[in-house]
Amino acid sequence: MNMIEKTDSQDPVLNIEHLTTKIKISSGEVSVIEDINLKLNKGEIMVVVGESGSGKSMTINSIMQLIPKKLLKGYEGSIKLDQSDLLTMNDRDKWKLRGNKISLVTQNAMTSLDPSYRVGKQIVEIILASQHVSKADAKGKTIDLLKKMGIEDPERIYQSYPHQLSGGLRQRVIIAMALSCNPEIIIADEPTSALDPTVQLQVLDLLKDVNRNFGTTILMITHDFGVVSYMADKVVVMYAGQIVETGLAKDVINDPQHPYTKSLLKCIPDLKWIYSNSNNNTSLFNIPGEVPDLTKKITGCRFAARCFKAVAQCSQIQPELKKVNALSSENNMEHLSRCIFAKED
Amino acid sequence: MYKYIISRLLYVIPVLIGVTILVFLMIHLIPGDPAQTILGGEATKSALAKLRSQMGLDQPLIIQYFDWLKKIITGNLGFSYTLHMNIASELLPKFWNSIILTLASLVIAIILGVGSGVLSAIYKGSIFDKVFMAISSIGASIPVFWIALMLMWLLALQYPIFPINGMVNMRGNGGPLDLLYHLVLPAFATSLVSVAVIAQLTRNAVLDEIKKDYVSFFKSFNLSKVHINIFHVLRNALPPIINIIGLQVGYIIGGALFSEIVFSWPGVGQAMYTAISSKDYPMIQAGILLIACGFVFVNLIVDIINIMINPKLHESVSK
Repeated sequence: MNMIEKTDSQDPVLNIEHLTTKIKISSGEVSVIEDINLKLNKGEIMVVVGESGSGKSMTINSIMQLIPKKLLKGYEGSIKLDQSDLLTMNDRDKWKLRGNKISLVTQNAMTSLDPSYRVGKQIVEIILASQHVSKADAKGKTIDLLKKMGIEDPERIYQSYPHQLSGGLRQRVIIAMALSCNPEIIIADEPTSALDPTVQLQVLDLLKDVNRNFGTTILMITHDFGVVSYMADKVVVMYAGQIVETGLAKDVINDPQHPYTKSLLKCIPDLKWIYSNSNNNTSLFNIPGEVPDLTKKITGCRFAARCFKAVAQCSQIQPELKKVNALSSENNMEHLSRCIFAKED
Repeated sequence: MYKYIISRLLYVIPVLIGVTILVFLMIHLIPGDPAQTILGGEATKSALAKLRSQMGLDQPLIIQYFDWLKKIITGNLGFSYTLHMNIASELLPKFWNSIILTLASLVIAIILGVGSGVLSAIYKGSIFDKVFMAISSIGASIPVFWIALMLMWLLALQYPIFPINGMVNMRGNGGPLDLLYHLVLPAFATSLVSVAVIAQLTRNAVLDEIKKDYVSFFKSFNLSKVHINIFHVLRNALPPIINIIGLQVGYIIGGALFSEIVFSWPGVGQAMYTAISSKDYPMIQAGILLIACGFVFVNLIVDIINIMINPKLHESVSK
């Protein structure tokens, strides 16, 4: 299989600029994500990381246009997929993109397949909806896909109902469904958080293989920095609907600039440390408090209330994302941080 | 799957035996002596005794039961002393008429009930949803005979679009169109309550299903909403809907008895009404037996359908 070169000379596959998504609430509206900028080139893996409530799922739902019309107040900015803006496109063109250029791998492997149909039938259904192929060809393609997902006996899995499969197998089937129409980009919504730890790594490896062998660009969200360090080329850290830090994964992990990123990295438990300290009353690191209520107006830095570094100024002025000194020599991705203490470039 | 179906079929046997015992005992619980009823108040004791032994009434109850069971299994439903004719030849054609009315009501109830329930769920909170749900919660509590009378008053008397009655001979010269014409009002009257009940349950079942993960996953592909709603949402909402339809069949059978009387539909209900008025016990017994068997049979079908559409009961492929 051929490696896809990762260069910046080409146009980005997905280019999100100044995206703000507003949701209707009883007392008016609230921006669940604010001024999001993301740029993904072909063949890259970008991981968005944050707690629940950070806006990472809303970012994905905005890209997939899956926010129910009843809830949605409106979008600002642009989501360009191969140069065409999803937000100004008519519904029919949007439908065409789904599955063809962009597809979703969902979080809940256990519940994301229809329990009433054999899994093979479900993949065939997706293929027939978007490609002009015969049923027999669709079936052949499905078996082939299942084989590529590392499934040893694809014929048997094809004939199985979802309840007969383990979580890991179901997640493989879901990835096969997402790939069934050769999308350019896969959006993966916490694809491993519902799985056993032993299976998580298999699924991550599979996604890496897909990225390498099919050249599929992957945008993934997670709350787990372990996944970031295993998978990501680029990382985006989100907090309360804003990007607080972004950059190449190695820069952000090796030299985190935002206190939130630092805290998240500290939250990863080191088993040896826990074991050796389990008797002397030390507790694991955690971030005090919780993600702020976005329906209330926040002046200043949104993380200030929970930040270990916060000073009086933090709760008065909202910091902008600014460029910081990147460790790596590669210049194709700026390292940005939304903190007044970030060391500037 | 076949294992479940066969065990369900076997389960019918004790139920049917229970039905026959209840129906048989019922006639013996009713006060009064059938021989006395037949011969009248001035019959002599010897005449009564003679008739009793002719009818087998002097035998022990258990022997009477098995005699009767032997007869009904061979299709002999007994003899009506008020109509002076064989019950089977009188009741069976009427039973078919009742089945026509029941099936027509059932079809209306399923189409309108499931259809409007699905639409209400999909357009939850819309004006259609609110108005329809308000109407159906009122509709579910109106008795059939009142609806029948109101429909008759409105659509047969005030605006004579449909006939009041006159369906005397179903296999007469009118043909199927004439049958349909006479069927409209009684079938609607019988089905309306069930439409409301089925619609409410369908709405809830679909609402439960529509928020499941697989629905939003399938929405992320270019499948049309109609396709997803029919082949995935409704498909998975089916088991509770089929169950409520099965229960509503019992209600429709009961409601059809009223409609038959109001609209003079020549069915079992009307025959039962006449039989009850004239204390024709063997006729009542046979009528109840037929209706009960019909109900048991419908429940059997509902259960078999539910077994067939549940993949978890299919033969396992992966084990």
